[in-house]
Amino acid sequence: MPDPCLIHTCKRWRRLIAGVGFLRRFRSIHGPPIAGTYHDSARLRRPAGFVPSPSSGIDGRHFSLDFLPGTRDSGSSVVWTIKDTRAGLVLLTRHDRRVEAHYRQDLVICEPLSRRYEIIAPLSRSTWYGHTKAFLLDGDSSMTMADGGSIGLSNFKVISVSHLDGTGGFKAAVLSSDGSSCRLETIRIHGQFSFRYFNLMGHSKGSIYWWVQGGIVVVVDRTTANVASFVLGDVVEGFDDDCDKATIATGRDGKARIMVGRRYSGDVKVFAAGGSEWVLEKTIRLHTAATPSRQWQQICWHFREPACQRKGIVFIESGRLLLALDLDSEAIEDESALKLKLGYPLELPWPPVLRACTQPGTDLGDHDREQINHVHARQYSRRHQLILMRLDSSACLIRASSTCKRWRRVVAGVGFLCRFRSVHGPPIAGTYHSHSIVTLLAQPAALPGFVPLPSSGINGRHFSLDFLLDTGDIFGNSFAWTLKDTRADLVLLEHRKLAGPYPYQQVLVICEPLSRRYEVIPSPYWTPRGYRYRIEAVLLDGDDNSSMAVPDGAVTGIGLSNFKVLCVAYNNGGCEAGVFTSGGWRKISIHGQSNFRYFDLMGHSEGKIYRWVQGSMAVVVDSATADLASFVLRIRDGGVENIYDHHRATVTTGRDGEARIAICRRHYGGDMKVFAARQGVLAGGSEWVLEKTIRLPAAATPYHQWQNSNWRFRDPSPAASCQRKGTVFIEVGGWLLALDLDSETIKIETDLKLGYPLELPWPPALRACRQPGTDLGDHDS
Amino acid sequence: MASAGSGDEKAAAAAMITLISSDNEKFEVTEATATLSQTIRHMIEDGCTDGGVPLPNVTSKILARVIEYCKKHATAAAGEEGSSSSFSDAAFLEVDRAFLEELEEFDDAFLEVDRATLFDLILAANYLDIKGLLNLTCQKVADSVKGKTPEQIREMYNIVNDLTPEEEAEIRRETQWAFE
Repeated sequence: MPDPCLIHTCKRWRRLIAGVGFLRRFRSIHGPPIAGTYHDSARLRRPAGFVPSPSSGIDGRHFSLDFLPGTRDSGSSVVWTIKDTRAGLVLLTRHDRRVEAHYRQDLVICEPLSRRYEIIAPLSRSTWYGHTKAFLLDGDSSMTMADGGSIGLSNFKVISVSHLDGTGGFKAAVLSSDGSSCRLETIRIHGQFSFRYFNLMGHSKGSIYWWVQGGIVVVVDRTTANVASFVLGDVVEGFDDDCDKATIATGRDGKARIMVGRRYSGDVKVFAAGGSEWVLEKTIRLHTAATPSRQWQQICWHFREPACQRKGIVFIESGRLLLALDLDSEAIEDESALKLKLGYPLELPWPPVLRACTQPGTDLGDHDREQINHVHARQYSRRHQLILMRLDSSACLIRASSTCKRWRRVVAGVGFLCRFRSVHGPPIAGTYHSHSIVTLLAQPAALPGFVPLPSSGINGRHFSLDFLLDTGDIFGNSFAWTLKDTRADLVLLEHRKLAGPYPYQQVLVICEPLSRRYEVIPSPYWTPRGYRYRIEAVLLDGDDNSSMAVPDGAVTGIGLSNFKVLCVAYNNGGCEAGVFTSGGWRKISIHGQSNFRYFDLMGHSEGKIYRWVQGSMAVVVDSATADLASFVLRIRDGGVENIYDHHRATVTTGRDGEARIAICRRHYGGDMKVFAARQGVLAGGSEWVLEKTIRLPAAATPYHQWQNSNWRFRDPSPAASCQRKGTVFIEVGGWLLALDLDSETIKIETDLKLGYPLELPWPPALRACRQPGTDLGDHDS
Repeated sequence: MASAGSGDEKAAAAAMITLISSDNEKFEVTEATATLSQTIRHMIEDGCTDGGVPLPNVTSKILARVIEYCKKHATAAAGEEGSSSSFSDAAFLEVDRAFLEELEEFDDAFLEVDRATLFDLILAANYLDIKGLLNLTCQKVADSVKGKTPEQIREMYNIVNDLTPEEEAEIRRETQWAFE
């Protein structure tokens, strides 16, 4: 890297450096300008620390990753793990231990120097990210920038290997981004895309080598993203997936070497690439090589692939030691001290920015001024970000963003809306309320009313459902509406005809009040035409999560063309349940059974719906993925009791963010048992542990006598704004009581919001007058 | 190099920091006042404050106001530390409450400045990384924007409307609900 001081010395030097070919020659002599290396400290739940390379003469503060959300907060539940670096970009995974899909990891790419980041669309909702390995590849060569820079935030590819949920296999895909759109291509080898292994062998000469089952080696070129493959069995006679270990390194002669060792042996065979052939070069006996430093442990060793490479050296991990095997001298050195130094290197931006004052023959004064203006523009845009971030409502933000183009660009800038939402939470417009029975008797067709939230600053009439009345032909004139659920900016209603050929038949209608559009959901296939005793329905996120790729990082997993409905239809003798997707209804069966005695709502916790099926069996449905898991609750140790008939149950979220199930006998009340969830409930576990027992009569005494029989749990709306952590609600004798699980006290509840909340559309539409590329909004000054 | 036990006088002298504004005016402040700024705190930790801290992005007029804020809040922070370590009886709580009220009054009065000064204060607070001041000044502007129409915001902050009537109509069409 030319010394920064040189670049700023005078205009003549500046023009010389910016001259044709100078930078290219400079780089060919000095190699890529390494700023330093990142070192992961995932166990500390902090993002990687940066150690500047001493020769770069740079202050490491510029490369801090503290701009990533949640990294400054020591109590944050977000764990950042570094996956790869390439040029000036860093690839990380973000793992939130507390969100509903706690097993999922998001890939995030960032450019530390400009303090910008982007969340990369996940491969699919159902993919488990537990074992993601991911590497950055260059972007499309058609977009190659001048002077050799071919990767940037708006032009990159990522190869990601993830563990498939349920099947136990691995899948790899290459994701390409050109800044505005993402493309995903699954890697297929010999027509196959799911593999038993996907082991990283290592890097050599700009390619990444993986080894999948059957001794097949997959080679991915990091510059072109080309995928090739060959069979290791052709190279190593009798190669065995289960017994052999393989790695790749570059020799001192610049040629690739494949090293293969057997699990219970100390021999490592070295193969050198000779043209398209691999030739056995030598066999190294680790026993003799290892003697000087320590005894060789035959069983417990594996190849270790460092992020920083050294030519002619293979790293081996044995016990707690990191050993470096020199392929030429066949000597082993203890490199445990190096263990901590094997970081991820980051390059400085190349070519360096030299726009200002480098054009000969023009008024240099103007250029200076332009440069100054540029710095000012950055400062102003940072200031505007800071101010606009403190506006309290979505409507206010939209009004402010339409005052002028500069403000609009700040709001539309990468990451702003994402940060705004993380600060202010979902933009609630107000709540829908069902009418009282008195109103409905007088006006059976009355639509649920909307009460805008005072702080949202919007007119409630935009959320009126009266557009459904204009559809008299479809819904008939004599009908009744029941509010079923809301999610994001959608409302789910049940419509019942009171007269006509099929009276009382329920029809589910989903609508988007702001756009005044609606859709009729086909009747569940298991429901013959006619009346059902009762229908329960809730909205779940849709399948299509491509909208996750929007640059604002907002998660909008649901829309009028992308939603699911969980529906339970009750007969006199039992009930059936199903999930509606764009493909139609799918009946829910648990352990081969699809008729249940109950499918009753217990409650909501952290985006999951808990329902009681029968006996001691309960199910938990993820609102975002519609994944369903069943578990058995044991009230007594060792014995499974048919508890539902005699108990009532509810679910809430504890103050520690974990779900709690509270169970109490139906008629006698008395002792309420609180069970705490251990992590991994959706992954198949059913770990519910009795946490405490609360005596309800004792807790209730200050207010009134506990009524043994006439009480029930009340589940507040699933919306986060309505839930209260560590609190269970009980309805008894016309009172709503809030029981605090920690202090074991009961208070009369007066301010619980019981309506169905509706969110404003997010991210807000900002298509008009948005100029890409002029985004100063994301630069921190 | 001074030894560790060189006496209180030297420690007191070392606790003063010189800040130099963009127009070369020098301000002497105590270390406690200066370290309200994270930027200066880092410089002190790195030991590069000898001969004064040049602040090329801050004019003397703005720096004087920033120092006024820091002095007041530094004493507040010192007061809190003192009271938490001593008795916490009712009298002390009363004193605390009075002190917090006084601080709030100070902040309100501090914000009674013209628009240009307020915006310069935001830039300075951001550059110097003074969280309290940044929050105070940004919130003041954000509050004044709340509930205003785009026209009112433009008028209030002398913003030139560079959107064509067609563009404005398009924006309104996108999010009609936000404008009524």
